[in-house]
Amino acid sequence: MSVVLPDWYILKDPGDITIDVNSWYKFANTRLERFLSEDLWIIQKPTWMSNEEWIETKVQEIGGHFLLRLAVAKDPRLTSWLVEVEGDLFEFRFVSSPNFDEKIHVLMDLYGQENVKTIDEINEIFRINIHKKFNLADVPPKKKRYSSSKFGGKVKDLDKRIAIKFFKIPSVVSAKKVLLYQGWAIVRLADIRLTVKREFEKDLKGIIEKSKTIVEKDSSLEVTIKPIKDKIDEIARSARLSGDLSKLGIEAGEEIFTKPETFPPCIRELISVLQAKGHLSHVENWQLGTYLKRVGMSIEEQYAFWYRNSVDNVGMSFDEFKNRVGYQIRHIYGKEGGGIDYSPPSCKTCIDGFFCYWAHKKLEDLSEDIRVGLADRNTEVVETAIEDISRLIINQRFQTACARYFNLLTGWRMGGNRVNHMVNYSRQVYKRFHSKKQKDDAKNKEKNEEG
Amino acid sequence: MKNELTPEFLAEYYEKKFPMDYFMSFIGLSNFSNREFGFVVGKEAFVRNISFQNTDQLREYMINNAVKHAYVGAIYDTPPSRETPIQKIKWKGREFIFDIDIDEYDLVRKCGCKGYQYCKECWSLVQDAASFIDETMKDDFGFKEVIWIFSGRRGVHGWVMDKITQDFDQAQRVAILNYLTFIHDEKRTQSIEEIPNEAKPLRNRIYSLVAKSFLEKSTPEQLKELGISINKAKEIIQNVQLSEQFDHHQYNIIIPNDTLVRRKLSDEFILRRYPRIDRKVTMDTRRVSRMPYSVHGKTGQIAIEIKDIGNFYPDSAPTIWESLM
Repeated sequence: MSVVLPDWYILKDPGDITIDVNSWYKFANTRLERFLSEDLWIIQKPTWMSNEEWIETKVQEIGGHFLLRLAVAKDPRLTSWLVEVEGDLFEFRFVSSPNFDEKIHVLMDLYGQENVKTIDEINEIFRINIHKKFNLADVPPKKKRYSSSKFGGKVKDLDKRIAIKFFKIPSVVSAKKVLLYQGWAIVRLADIRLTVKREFEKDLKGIIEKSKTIVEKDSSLEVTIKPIKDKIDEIARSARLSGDLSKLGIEAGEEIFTKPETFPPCIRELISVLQAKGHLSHVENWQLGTYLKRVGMSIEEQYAFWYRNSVDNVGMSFDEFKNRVGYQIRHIYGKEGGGIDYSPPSCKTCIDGFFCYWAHKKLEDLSEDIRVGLADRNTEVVETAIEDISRLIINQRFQTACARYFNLLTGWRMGGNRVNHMVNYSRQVYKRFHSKKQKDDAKNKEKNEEG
Repeated sequence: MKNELTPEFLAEYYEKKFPMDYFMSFIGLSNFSNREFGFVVGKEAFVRNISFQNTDQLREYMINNAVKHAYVGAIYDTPPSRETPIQKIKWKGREFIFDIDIDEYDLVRKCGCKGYQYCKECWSLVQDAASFIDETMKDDFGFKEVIWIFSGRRGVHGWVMDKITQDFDQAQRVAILNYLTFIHDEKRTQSIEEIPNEAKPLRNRIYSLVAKSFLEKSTPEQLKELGISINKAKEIIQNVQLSEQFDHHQYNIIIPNDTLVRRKLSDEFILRRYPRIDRKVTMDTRRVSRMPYSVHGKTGQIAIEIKDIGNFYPDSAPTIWESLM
């Protein structure tokens, strides 16, 4: 099969194109504006467009992206931001591409041509009929593993299956969401969507890393990319580092501590242990530190937070503390070590190696915590919830247990009926309380006006 | 009188009987000098970060030190040594190995054996586990060869011989392990994961090997405890014992169509008979594993290759004394 990569795939070699340096800024700016508007766009030739115009559009797309790469290359924090937004755009284009072959070709580029096959090819290689042998159908499963509304309803072929060498998609194999046959993982595209996105992000990161040498070799480039770099810096600071919560009204920094009800149970527990004992384990420090960073704390604020609560401060001035203990904090922000702008671990990672309130705390202790914390609620409701949660914990369904707790707390159901990330938990809780408070305020206002 | 494992016996074994060629067929000659070895020598001192230029040096070391236990580790970019320990050098590859020990089943063994003890009844758990993993590695993961080695005391090691596995990183190793895992926290809560629908070959194998083995060995009274009537239980056991090819479809036909009973039954057969793997051995890329054909320093038994796991019983493995006779 000859691999023809789609025009929307920005990791594709653009071939021999010339970009006028003066247009770079304009192209990059347009691309940035589109990221900012959060309007994910498809790049596909409209029927009314001439070939010349279409080539110009593609050049703009490639040129804009290329300058963004150069602009972020030397700053790990900005690199993370670009990788994240480009990752989202890639995911959208991948799931909404109406051409199944395009998807296969992108997978071949990401995983290697020899590691991806269509089901027809597998049937031919092994002289079998996979669908018949294992009684498979390309109909959507009863419980969908994705929400098409996330992509504006433009989801195509996600229930179709393809074959990838199992060692290329370890996380999917690990979750047993896969039919393994002779080393080939037969999977629905829906089940590898996120893994594919991660692979794209990994490759993009590698390419950006290589772009660093281009910037380092040509000092005049620094001047060209400066305005766009400053703009990305501003966007990344407000949109990402101030966290998703800022969009919901929570200000960056210590402001978050005025809203402890938004903390997921794991973070609340870690803070209370830190305050009681003065220290946490290494991985717990990391978990709490990355969470606080994600919800908007600056490095300075984190120094202050840990200095206030940690026993490591004994006999140490704040400056000494910053120098000696602050290494870990700076590491989290990518200012030490490998320079990676770390994200907080997902719930799965917390369950496996960090701290998950439901997986790692004793069942009887957490039942008691819930009873005490919700003493003002209807006892029967709380007891039923505790029973549900206990059953879920025994069956190792910790993320669903967390969602059940969320349901008990807010009266709302968590999308997908499981919590996947602690930051998402906070965002969801805030959303509920915030919108309820807004409604209540509006009602009170109405009443007062009527009165 | 129990034989004594003297340094003289050990030295003689490694000089005259240790089949270096067979051992080398497991690890291959390439990168030999960058491979880590570890040994228990003298009064139980465990030494690691050792490498050799060639196999003659390795044999010489084992003879001169009369090693009680010999282990082979990973390949690095530099020969491991006291000056360049494995923590300081770059990892390049390691064999993909499974370790099944009988004491992993202590919570579910009903025969009365504990720890290193074993009997014909409980040893069948190790045999079934090895067969299950062997089939899964070949049919699901497409590996060509898995060689089973007796560990010398209480278990077996499965070496996946396909070269590609040497390069597997920890995430890939853990993925294979997780695919095979249904019992979580095996030494405490032993919670059971539901059998997945999508992983059909694995699901079918659980019924054809694990469920079959459990039902064949059950008594009607044991099945009654799971909510099946005595008469039905007798019928099920008889059916399973008579059927040569027991699979998912037959299971569905003979087991009562009651969700609760089915769930209890599947939890029970997974708990009692599903493979229990020592995860650390498989996932830790820097771990050392017992060298095939070396002597177990506690039992004197030799870590031989097992040709037919279904018919292998530890007592039949040769000892150093028999080998030197």
